[in-house]
Amino acid sequence: MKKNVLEWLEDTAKRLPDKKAFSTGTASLTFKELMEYSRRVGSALIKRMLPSDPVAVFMGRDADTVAAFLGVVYSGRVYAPIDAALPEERIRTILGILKPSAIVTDDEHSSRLLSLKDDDTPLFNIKELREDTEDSLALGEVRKKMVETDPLYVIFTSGSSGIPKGVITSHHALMTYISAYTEVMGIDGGDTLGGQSPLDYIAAIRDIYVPLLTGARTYLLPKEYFMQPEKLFGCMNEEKITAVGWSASSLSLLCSLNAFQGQRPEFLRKICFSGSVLSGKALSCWQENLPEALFVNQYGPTEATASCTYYKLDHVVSEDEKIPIGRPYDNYRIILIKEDNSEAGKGEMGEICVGGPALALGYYGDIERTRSAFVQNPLERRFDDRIYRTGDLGRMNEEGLLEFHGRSDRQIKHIGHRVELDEIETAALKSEHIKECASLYNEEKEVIWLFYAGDIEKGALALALRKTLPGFMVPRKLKQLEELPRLPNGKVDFNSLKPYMGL
Amino acid sequence: MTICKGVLNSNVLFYKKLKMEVDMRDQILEILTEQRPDVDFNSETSLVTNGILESFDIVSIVAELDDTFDIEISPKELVAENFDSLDAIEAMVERLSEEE
Repeated sequence: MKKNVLEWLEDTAKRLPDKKAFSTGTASLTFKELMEYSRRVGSALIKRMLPSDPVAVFMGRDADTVAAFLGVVYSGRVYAPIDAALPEERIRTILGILKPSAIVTDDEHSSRLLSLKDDDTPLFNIKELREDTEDSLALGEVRKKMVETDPLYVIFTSGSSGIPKGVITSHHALMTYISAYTEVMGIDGGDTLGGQSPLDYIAAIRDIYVPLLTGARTYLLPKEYFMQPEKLFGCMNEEKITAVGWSASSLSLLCSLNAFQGQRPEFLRKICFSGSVLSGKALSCWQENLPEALFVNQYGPTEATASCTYYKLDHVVSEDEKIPIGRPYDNYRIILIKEDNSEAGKGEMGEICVGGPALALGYYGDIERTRSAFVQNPLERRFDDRIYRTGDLGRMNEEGLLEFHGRSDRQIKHIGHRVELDEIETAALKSEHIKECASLYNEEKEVIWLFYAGDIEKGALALALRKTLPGFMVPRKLKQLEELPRLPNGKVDFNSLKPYMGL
Repeated sequence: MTICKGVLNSNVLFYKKLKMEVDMRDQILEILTEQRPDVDFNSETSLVTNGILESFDIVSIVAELDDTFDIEISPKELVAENFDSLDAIEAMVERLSEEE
């Protein structure tokens, strides 16, 4: 087995030098170009003698961004993708946690970055880095010191205290997942992947690394096409997209927009969906329109490198069917642990815990939170066995397939993103006009609500929230109340708020 | 007299139509503002092109417009040109209402 993602890139560049690896509507890179580009960026970063801290990458959704990521890896550092569309305050928080050794950006995003960066972290334009010459000796020296458990990236996700968590993952974990995923989906060099997610988001690791392993090409689909189904499917047909790994909510969204009334994505044969529970109604709509395609339901957290289990659909589901999350991927271990720390038996509910090489190394710069989420397997007392407690509840059904049964805390999955409702409340309470507030989720309608008491118009509140939270986390329903209903013990009475949401 | 009556009728019709259009615009604005109270829909002209509206905003807005005006916004209508501004959305709703 290989021990570094760069070996995947180099092997494929040797095997298929002129085949396209990544493309968008305006630009593309072949495997050879991508490798040479990344090596030049890596050489340039080494030459600049930076500290060993991660390098933040603050760029758009382009092939160049992938070259920037891999260039950072060539330099022997960890990359941390940051979505340029995030609100200023969040970017500042992320940079504060990361304390990057440098930030790589492009023409389009450098001015925004300059306006919000208040320290002397060096800033490099990718254009300037790629003009450097390759220093194969220096690259070789770096590589000699690398081992497969070295960290590869830091990806930020919602944290309940209002501070995002940077999940740090190794080469080995990433390679474990991508190999297992590629096998389940049957993806090879003949496939073209249609990328949906922003490149800083965990789901994008499939679009980035599956090509490096298999020689497939990834086409980055424009985000706004997901609201314009004719354009989306038209573009997928033009690019002959054969395989996608999309958020479940984008599949259901396209059904809600009656996307299949027009043309269908003719070449699409492999579809993986993840991120939240997909309704039987939405899945059957896709299955009926693409009867030849393979559908795979994937489940798993960023902390286990995007995934742990998968379920290959073997029948067209009925509208009210609950789709199991299935079986562990190759080289993943799943155990269900009950509240008393004993193992859940068949049919019993337990917390889904993950073990094996795909576990993340932890949360960047936060040993405390790492230790409380990545713990010793309570079923193993004889040697160290690290597991990750997902906080999700699951049960093994009669057929030995895992079913998902929600969460024990206030974390939700909203349009494919993980959201802590506590984080929304913390953000709202930062406004001096808010006396108290409570955030709830209407899962069926995919709408986040915020109930609040305070002297502020909902428009102004939404605007204020937009300054600290990513767009998808801003509640779309804001309801001002005189005061929040309370239970006798003083806690907010969530049940009496539910009627407002039509529940 | 007949002529006068004709003029009067056409005036009434004109004002009725004008009032309907004003109502329609207000209703659309209400739907949009309900979904996104933070956006100034009277001035924005690149709602989709600049990514101000997210895809799940569009889904909610389309469902509300379909219900309120008894129209069916088909996938063929779901293009940025029809959703980039209040004017564009109004023009689309008006066109689809007349087709019904």
